[in-house]
Amino acid sequence: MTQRKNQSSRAKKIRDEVGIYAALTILAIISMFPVLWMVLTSLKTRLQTFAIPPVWWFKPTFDNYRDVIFGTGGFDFPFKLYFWNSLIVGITSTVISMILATIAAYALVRFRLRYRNAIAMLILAVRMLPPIALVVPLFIIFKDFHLYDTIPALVLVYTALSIPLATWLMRGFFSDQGTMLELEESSMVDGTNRLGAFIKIILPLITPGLAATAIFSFILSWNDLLIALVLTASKAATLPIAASRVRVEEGIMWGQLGAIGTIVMIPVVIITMIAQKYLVRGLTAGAVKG
Amino acid sequence: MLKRTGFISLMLLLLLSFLIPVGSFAQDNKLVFVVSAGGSGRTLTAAAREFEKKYNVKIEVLSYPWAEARDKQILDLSSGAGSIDIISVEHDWVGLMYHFLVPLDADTKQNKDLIPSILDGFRYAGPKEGNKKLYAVPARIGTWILYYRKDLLQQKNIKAPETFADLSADAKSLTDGKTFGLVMPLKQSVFIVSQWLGFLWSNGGELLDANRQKVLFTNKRGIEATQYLVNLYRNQKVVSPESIEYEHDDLITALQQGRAAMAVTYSPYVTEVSDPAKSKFANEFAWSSHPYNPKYAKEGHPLIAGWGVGVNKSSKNIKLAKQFVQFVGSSDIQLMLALNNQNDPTVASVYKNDKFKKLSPAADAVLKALEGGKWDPSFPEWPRIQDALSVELSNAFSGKKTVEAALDDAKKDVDSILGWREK
Amino acid sequence: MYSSNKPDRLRSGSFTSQRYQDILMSWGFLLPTLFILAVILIWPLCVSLKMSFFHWELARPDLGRPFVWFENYIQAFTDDDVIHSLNISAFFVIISLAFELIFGFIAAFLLAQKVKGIGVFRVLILLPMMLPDVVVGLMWKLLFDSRNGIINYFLSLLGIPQQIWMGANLAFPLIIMAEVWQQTSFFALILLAGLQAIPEELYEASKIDGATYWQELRYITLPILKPVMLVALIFRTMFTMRVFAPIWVLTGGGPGNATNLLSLKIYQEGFSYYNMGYAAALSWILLILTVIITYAYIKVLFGKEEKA
Repeated sequence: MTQRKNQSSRAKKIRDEVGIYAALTILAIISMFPVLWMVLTSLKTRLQTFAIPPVWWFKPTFDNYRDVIFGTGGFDFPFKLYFWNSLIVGITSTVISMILATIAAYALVRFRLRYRNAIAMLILAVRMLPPIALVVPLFIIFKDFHLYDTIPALVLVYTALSIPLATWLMRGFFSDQGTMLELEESSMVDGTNRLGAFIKIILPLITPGLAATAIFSFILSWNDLLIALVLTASKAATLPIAASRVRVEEGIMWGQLGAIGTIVMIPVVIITMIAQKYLVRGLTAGAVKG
Repeated sequence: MLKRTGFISLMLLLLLSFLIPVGSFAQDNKLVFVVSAGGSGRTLTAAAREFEKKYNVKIEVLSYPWAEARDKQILDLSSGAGSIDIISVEHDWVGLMYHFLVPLDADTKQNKDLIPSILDGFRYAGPKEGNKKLYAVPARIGTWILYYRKDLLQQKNIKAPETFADLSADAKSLTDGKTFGLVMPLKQSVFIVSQWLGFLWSNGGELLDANRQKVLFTNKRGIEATQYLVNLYRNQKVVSPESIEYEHDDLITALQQGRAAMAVTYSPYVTEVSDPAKSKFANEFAWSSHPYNPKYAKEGHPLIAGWGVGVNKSSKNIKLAKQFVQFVGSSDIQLMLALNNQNDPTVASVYKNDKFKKLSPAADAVLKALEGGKWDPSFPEWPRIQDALSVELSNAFSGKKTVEAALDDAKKDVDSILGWREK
Repeated sequence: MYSSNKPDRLRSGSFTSQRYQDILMSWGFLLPTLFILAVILIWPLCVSLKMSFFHWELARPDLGRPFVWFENYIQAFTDDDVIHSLNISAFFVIISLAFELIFGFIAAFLLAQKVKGIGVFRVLILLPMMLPDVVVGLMWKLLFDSRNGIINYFLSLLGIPQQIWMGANLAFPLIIMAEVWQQTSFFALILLAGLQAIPEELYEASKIDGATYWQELRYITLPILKPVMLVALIFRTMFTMRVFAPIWVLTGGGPGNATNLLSLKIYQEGFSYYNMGYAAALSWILLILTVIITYAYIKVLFGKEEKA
């Protein structure tokens, strides 16, 4: 009797898994199709790109990558510098905004400040103005403070832009005040101080939130074009500006677009691969009662 | 304690990022030059490199896509920041930028080689000013000419069309289901307006009156010219159907792929369709001048467009910048640019140069076009007017409105734009 | 709910030293954030609000910067074009968000499964939102080109005639599809993170009580997800209201003004015509519209509950 029950439940499990894999695959294909096409385009010549019927089996050319990385074929600019700039700005602004947002969110949730909701709303409200309205004033400020075309200028702006989403996300991840206080209290009873409680109990709970926040913050600064365009010239320029160079007067350099799109994608993919490892369910280590 | 350690590490991190190089504005013996990526960018960069070699000066060339180049320059010019010394001035931008550019008449007077009608395109006088002043030295020119496939025309035993009637008839014989006689940029964008202007003028029509107060394109000739074009697309169907979503780059691709046999388009694209790496029919193209309607005109009156180089009033290196812009417009450099970078020159001597004539088979067509060609108005309201026209023209081509209705609505828009300016 | 002794705040009389320390600490935590926001965001906000009451054209210094009261706003609301932009922007946001929410939920649940290789799937499915806007827009342009695009090619294999995607009636659905494709992973990621933050014990306890899958979903998962779902909705609404680059590259606002969202209009006024005062006014109108929609969400979803 039990054996048959085990067999059918195992069969059900396999059916479930197959179903899940099938659904995942469909989603993955939809997500990846344009990206795959982009990568393929980066390996084609211009003639091949527009060929109908499309060319599936072709000899790949790396000219587009050569153009982008080494600045040939009319793509004259220092790729390595722009890549490095983007990386520094991205990582710095992500780290700073994550730290600031997490402690701000903690403050807003943990302490019964009288104006905490108002402050949270303020943080949200300032983000609501479309960046287009921000760039001219920002240009003037940074020009006056001699921060035009510098890395710190970009770091400051991207940090400021990431903080609202990051704060609200972390705020959503810190559980309601009751549970938090209970967890803190119960661990403090064991002798740890508040900091220890924070690190041992709260932090593991919000790791998924931190992972998601890190990804969003990094993407914001990695992909932003408008602000970089206005606030930089040659020294602090970032990759999106390089990517925009494929739009020339005669049209679009499709091959080079594919190449630079692929290159720009790689660091983000790496960061996501790392961050998604933290998107796992944390256990509360038995601290909650009932 | 968390607060303290967090605070300290934060400060350290910020400090670290501040140690990375801080930017500074232009210094002595260095010029910053913004160019538009693509044909003009390549050409102007080449000129910059020559200047660097000859005078031992560093020129930092920043290349951006067309619209971004305009934005960045206008932002810098209007704020008086002075971080860009040399400005790429497309003809259409003169009206937007002239307030912030150094007038160059005195220095350019000596250069007798510059073609006067081209120089005119870069002169401007504000609404309350008297004489026009020169704000940029012309560096690169372009006009609308007829591109056609020699091989296909030979097959059907036809000559390159000259009149509107010719064009229509030839396009018909060249359309066979797979290929079309013509391709046009009919998407709602600046390109549909440029395409239309040449035909408007070559039919004896006018855009605005001399004072730029009245709309003239809704008169009989204007409607006729517009109807002619719309018929080509909607009734005779000799224009490829997907043209309705085409901008200039799609048009180039269509020619490169052999989708259409002819097109009336911008002369600098000659290099694009003749490049074997990009064009399937690289050696089969030939060029002639813009078609016209003999009832109202004796020759084609295409649109002229072009680039000049100007000097930022707030630049900290005005003398050096002025030297550079004159350099770009000089006969020698224009010859070099024409030969090495396939640049259409702004000086008369190069057009007479044998080497150039051999290298650039479209040279004759271009020169002829420059004789009868006209500039579009570059006053500050032009971008709005252009956008309004592009919407209504696109409506006419897509069949959403009749030609008369579309032009009428365009007139209403343009009137309100001009009227609003009156205040 | 919190069941221990009364919160310090409600205790009458003076603060305890613990309470005092708490206040200091919390403000200390908030200050860096507020400072950076003040400098980078609040100041430009004020400048742009001020600008919206002036007539300021960047390229016309000869016109000066006259104070024009509410003229910019009046001009906006009496302009048919602007009203049209407001309408289709609202339309665009509501429809896109609906799709993104549904697909985002499905994706999040799938990606939360503990199957082998789920990491790979996560990266692949979250990928779209990681690409720069311009690249995405241009890629769609290539795919949907009516002559050389591969989508039309596939359709032709199935016998469906070539479509002109960026003209006629298909432009608006096209931009919605492009937006949903790119941003569904925004919801997916947030919801996924939210799902992972639910303590395992809650599910175990409910299984012991004999709850079904749907009951678990309704009484455990959804209520706990509500805060993060709200955050995702609010921010996604904000970002979608202002999305610009992919649409500009694909349709340029056309055909006619079929896809001329308010964000495109703002760009046009600010960076094609350099009419800064008017663009600022339009930006503030966009902001107010966003606030209205956001407030509606909060009311609907949070209602009388206390915010976290």
